[in-house]
Amino acid sequence: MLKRLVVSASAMLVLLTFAPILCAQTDQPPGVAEQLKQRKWNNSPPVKAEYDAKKKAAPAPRRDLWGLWDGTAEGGIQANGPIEYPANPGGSASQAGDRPADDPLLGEPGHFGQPDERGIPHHPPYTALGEETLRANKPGTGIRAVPPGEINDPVDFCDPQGFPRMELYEFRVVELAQTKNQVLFLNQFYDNWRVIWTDGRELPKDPEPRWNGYSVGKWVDDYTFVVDTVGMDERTWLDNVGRPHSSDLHVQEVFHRADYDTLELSVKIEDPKMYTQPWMALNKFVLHRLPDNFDVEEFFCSPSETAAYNNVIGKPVTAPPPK
Amino acid sequence: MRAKRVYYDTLRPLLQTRFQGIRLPAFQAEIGSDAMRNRLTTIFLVGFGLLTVSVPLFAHHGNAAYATGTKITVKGTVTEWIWANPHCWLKFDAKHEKGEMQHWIVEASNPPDMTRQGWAKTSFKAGDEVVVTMMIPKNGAAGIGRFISGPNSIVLNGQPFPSGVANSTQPAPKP
Repeated sequence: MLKRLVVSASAMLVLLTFAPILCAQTDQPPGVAEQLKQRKWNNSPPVKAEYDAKKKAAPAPRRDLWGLWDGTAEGGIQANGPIEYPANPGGSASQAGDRPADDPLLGEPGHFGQPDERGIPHHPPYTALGEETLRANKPGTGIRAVPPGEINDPVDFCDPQGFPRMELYEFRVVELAQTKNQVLFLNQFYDNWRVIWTDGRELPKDPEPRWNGYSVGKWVDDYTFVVDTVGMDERTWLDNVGRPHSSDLHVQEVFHRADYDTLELSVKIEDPKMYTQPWMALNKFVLHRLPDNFDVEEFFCSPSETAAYNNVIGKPVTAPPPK
Repeated sequence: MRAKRVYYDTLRPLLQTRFQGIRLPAFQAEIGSDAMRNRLTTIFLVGFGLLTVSVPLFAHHGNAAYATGTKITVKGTVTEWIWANPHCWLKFDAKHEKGEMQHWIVEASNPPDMTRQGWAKTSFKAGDEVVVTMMIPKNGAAGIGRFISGPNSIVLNGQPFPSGVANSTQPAPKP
């Protein structure tokens, strides 16, 4: 009897845990998927169920990352922080940021986000400076979410999100291309790109910081490509919930081509000023290969559109309630 | 109709208790108005509770400014549909019972998210009749809302929406 109870309770727990993810996967209205498939332009990636239904993929080609890769289906949007470290009491990174509906403070004037990350399953290992810097960053999502007019997220004003945030937030479609000396990372979100040098050069010793840093990559075996990046501008956030970094940040990415249709990406964050130890923001996060004729919808940050949004919606919904 | 209004008046204090600090708009509740008076727009409260059917559409700007437990439905006439980042928004006009006009702005998500839902730049045009179910801001800012998803959260020219790009009065854009 007790066993039965435990089994059903665990089943319920599992169901509840994955409910937001399940929900996100089935959010297309009926008939839409078929219509979208017929489009030749502005394509949308398939939902996860479609990838899961695919037959076993062909073996991975050697030393080849070429192609269009989709992070959307596996929760790459990561509104509440990286997959492995969501700043969300529910623990789901794919669910858009929200206050829980049963939050006792819901609707209380002036109450929006809390200052720190109490109540989330596990935290990045902050140093004192890391925690202090976190508090100064005001995100629009996660447990620390503030309303639109109070957000100080650089992306909100069309600053580049930079690296590694481009893999830890709005990681939708990325096209990887290889030239003789480079891997090019062409990112859908806000239409930017980065260069990973493969010509054997070393990382700069005293880099002048830049938004996407300086990246060098090498194949450690026929299916595993390792990239090291340094020299990232301190103005960028690591993720969508305001995790900070210093100019000492070192990021290591491991791209593993598991089979023809699957590329796994792990991202390790090392920044001794902000974090007492390295932490894995992504761990074998799955990117699915898209068809070669997939047309990526543009996704620019237009300063004029953003200003209009902030004026028409952001400011009014943020203003204190009238007395 | 009187009974309906009494119902709303009973409901409102309950809502106020549940969502302390939210100034609920002073809606004129009028349900079941004469169908012939279709220029007369009706605003009515349909309910409240957990938004169990809503799905997470909004990635960058979360719902921090919105009372996610509220749910109101407004009928009006589209004036503009803005397909833009960070979020698309629909502008429409709704008339109160006494004839005064309320301009509404209801935000959706970004264009790629909306494309994936079957929406398009051509989904709405000026003059379309819409019935929109939305959540409203915690601070009671008038005339602003955020779409919630669900099979009947939008009715466009008498048809449920979203159900694909073709569900506009215009044909679907040619691929």
